[in-house]
Amino acid sequence: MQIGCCWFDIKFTTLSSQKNDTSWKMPLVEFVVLEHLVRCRDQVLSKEQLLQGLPQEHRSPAKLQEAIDRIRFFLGKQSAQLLETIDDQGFILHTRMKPSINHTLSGPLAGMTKQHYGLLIAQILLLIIFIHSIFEPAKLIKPLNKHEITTSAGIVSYYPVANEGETLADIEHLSHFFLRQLERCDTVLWDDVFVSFSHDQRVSSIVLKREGVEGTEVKNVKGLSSAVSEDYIDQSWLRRTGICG
Amino acid sequence: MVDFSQRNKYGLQIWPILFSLFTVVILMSGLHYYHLSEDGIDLVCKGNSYGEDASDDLELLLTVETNAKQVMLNYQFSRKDNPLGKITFIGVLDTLDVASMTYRLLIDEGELQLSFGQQAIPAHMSYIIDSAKQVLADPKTARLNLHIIDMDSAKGYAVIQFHPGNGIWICDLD
Repeated sequence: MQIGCCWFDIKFTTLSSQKNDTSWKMPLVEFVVLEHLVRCRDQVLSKEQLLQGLPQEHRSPAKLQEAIDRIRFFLGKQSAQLLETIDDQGFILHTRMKPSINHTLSGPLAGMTKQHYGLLIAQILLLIIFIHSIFEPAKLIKPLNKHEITTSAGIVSYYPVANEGETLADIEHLSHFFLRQLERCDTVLWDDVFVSFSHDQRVSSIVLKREGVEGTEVKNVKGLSSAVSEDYIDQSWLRRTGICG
Repeated sequence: MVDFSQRNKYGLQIWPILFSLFTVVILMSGLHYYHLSEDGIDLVCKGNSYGEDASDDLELLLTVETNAKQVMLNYQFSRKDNPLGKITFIGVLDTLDVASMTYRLLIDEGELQLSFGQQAIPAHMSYIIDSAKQVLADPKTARLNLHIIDMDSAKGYAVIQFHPGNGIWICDLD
């Protein structure tokens, strides 16, 4: 009797594997269980039915399970799928391999096939992508600390930028100094002016932005002083740098 | 004694569950790595440096390039379109703090190139070199934060602030 890759010889009580050319002289319990399953092939046999066929001294569920496990082990990974556990209540020996019996999980979560696992992994992956998309970095960030200056050319937004670990109060005198210089300009040529100063106050960074007919125009201005002083920022310097007109 | 069951007391086979979890972890890591590389930032910032005297004025070009986790900052200095030199900083993108929109960089290499025939280092260039020397001297890796304080992807610009240094730039999003 062929069972997957094995030949079951009822007469000699042996199970021979054609895969690795080995033969197993089956112990009584294993033989009785397999013989019963073979005779009722493709039918579900309950544990009680199988236990009835066992000798009295071996009639226990643990012994039955051990016999089933040993038969499966000898049948090998592929052919063992022919011997299926049904709802943990009984067993069936299939004639042919069915894709659906390729269970990778049994017990309380029985029925989880490889396809189910694939589906589960795909769902988790989609969930991760969805969550990631929610927390995606923003595409639009608006600056803080806006001050508005009214000039002859209109309203200019002025943004003093403090150093990391500093507050705007720490750079208040520099910020006000620059603000006063801007207010003195005849015209400020830009809509938005960002200003920061280096720790040693030798370098000023000024970012300029305005909306023109051709879209957003921008300019970076760096002011460098040889001394720790902001006094070089005056009307002529602001005109030279193109901040004021 | 060989364990024929390969099951635990609940009747569950452990290896498929472990395999699934392992697969999910691998996929998550891959996705995270992919998005981190996607979340890199490429910027082109053009500007002018004005000294107290007009003869010290320079044109500046700063580019920030990221490739996966590698980061390169390149400062180029020129005067009336004649290149004077460039300073390149190389490092890695450590993390992106989404809450404050701060890219935390670790800079471990700095390189200075002066153009042929250039004898003196311009004042602004010299200032950047001195600042970099201080932070790269000890330890050899310097932390540099790139904080985005204003950005509009649709209009293609971002205003960034560097820490330390507190330099701010408005840049084209590349």
